[in-house]
Amino acid sequence: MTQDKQEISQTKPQRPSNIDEQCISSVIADDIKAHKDAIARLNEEIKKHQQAILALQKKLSTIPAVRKVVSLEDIISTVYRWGVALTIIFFVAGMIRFYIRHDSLNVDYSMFYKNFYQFTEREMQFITLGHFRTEVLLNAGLMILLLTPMIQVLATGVYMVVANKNWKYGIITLFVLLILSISLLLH
Amino acid sequence: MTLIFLISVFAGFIGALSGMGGGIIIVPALVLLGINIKYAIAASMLSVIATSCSATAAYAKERIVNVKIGTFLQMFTILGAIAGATLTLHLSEKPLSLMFGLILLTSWITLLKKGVSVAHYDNKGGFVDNYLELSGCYEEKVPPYRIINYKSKHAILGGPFMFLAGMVAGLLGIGAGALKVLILDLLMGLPPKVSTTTSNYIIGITALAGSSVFFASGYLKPGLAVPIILGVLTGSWVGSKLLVRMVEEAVRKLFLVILLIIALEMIWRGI
Repeated sequence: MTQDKQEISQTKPQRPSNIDEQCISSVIADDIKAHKDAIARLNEEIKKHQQAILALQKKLSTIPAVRKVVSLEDIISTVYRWGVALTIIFFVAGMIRFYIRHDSLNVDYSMFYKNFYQFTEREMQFITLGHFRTEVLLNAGLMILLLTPMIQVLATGVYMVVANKNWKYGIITLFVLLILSISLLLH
Repeated sequence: MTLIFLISVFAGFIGALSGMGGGIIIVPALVLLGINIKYAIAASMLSVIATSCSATAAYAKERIVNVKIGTFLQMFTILGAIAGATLTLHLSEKPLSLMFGLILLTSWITLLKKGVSVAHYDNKGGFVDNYLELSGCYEEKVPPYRIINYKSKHAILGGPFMFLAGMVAGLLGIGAGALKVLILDLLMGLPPKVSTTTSNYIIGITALAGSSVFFASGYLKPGLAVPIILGVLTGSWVGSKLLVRMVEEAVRKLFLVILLIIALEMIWRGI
C-alpha cells in the first residue's frame, strides 16, 4: 500500500512543462514523501505499542486479583495447599503427642483395614468422638493425604463440565475417579 | 527416625527440582537402614503423593502445569500403577531394576546428545493432540520474560508409554518422574519446565493409585511413613521455590546429572 503511494508521488513531478514548475513540484513531492515516511514510522510505532499492550494484557490476566473468574489452576492449588497443610498439622500433632506422652504406640504399627473407605469411616468416628490418640492423629493425616488427590480430580471434573462445558474432560476425569475409587474399595 | 527425616528432606528437594518424586533416593536409603524393601516401597509411595501435592500447589499457581495434558495422561498412569503395585506384591524386583536402569541410561544418552533444548514448541500435533486441545502457554519468570506457546505431538503414543511409566512407578514405589519427563519432553515435544511440572501433577494421582494397592496389603506403616512425608515435604517446598526462578538450561543440566545417578543406581541394584 505505502509502496504504491510512493510510486505515484514519484511519477507526478515528471509532468510539468517549465523549469520553475518542475522545481516546485519536486519540492512538494519530497515533502509528501517525508510525511509518508513519517506516517510509516508512526505505524510501526503503533504496531509495537499494540503488541506491548497485548503482552501486558496477557500478563495482567494471570494476576489472581484481576481475574474475574476463579481458574482451575487456582482450585487445584487451593485443594492441594489445604490438603497438605492439614496433613502436616495432624502428623506434627501426632508426633508431638508421641514424644511428649511416650505413648505405647510402636512406630511400626500396621494398619489392618479391609479398604480405604472402611478406614476413613473408622477414623471419622474416632475424630468425632474426640479420641485424639497418637495413632488416630497419624491416621487422620494419612486419610487426608490420600483424599486430597481424589478431591482434586473431582474438582477438576466438576470445573471442566460446569465452567468450561468441556464434556471430553468431564468423561476423562470421571474415568480417573472411577478407577481410583474401585482400586481403593476393592483391595 | 531423625536420620530418616533428614534423608527425606534431601530426597524431597531433589524430587521437586527435577520433576521426579523423592522415592528414587528414599527406597534405597531405607533398604540401607535395614528396612524391608516392600515396606520401603509402600512408605515411599505415600511420600510421593505428598511431594507431588505440595509442588503442584506451587506450580499450578504459577500457571506452568498443563492440567489438560496431565489429566489425559493420568488415565494411563493410574492403570499402570495399579498393575505395577500388584506385581510388586508378588514379584522379585531385581531383573526389573536392571531393565529400568538400562532404559534410563539409554534415555540419558539421547538427552545428552540433544543438548540445548529447542526454543520452538509449536508442534503441528496429531488427531488426539488437536481433539483434546493439548496445548498451552506460560511466561518465563527470568528476563526477557518471554511468553512461550506450545502444543503437544504424538499424544496417541504418549498414552501407552505413560502406562509403562505408571507401571514402573507402582512397581518400585517411586514417582517415575524421570520417565514421565522424558515422554513429555522427547516424545510429546513440550518445553522442559512444562514437562517437569506436568509430570509432578501426574505423579500425585499415579502414586495414589499405587498406594491403594499397598493400603490393605499390610505393608503400609504410618509410623515409618510419617517422618518420611514430613521430611519430603520440607525438601520439596524449598525445591519448588527454586524451580520457578530457574532458567530452562539449569533445570535440564540438573535433570541430566540426577538421571545418570539413578540409572547407575538401578543397574547396581539389578546386578
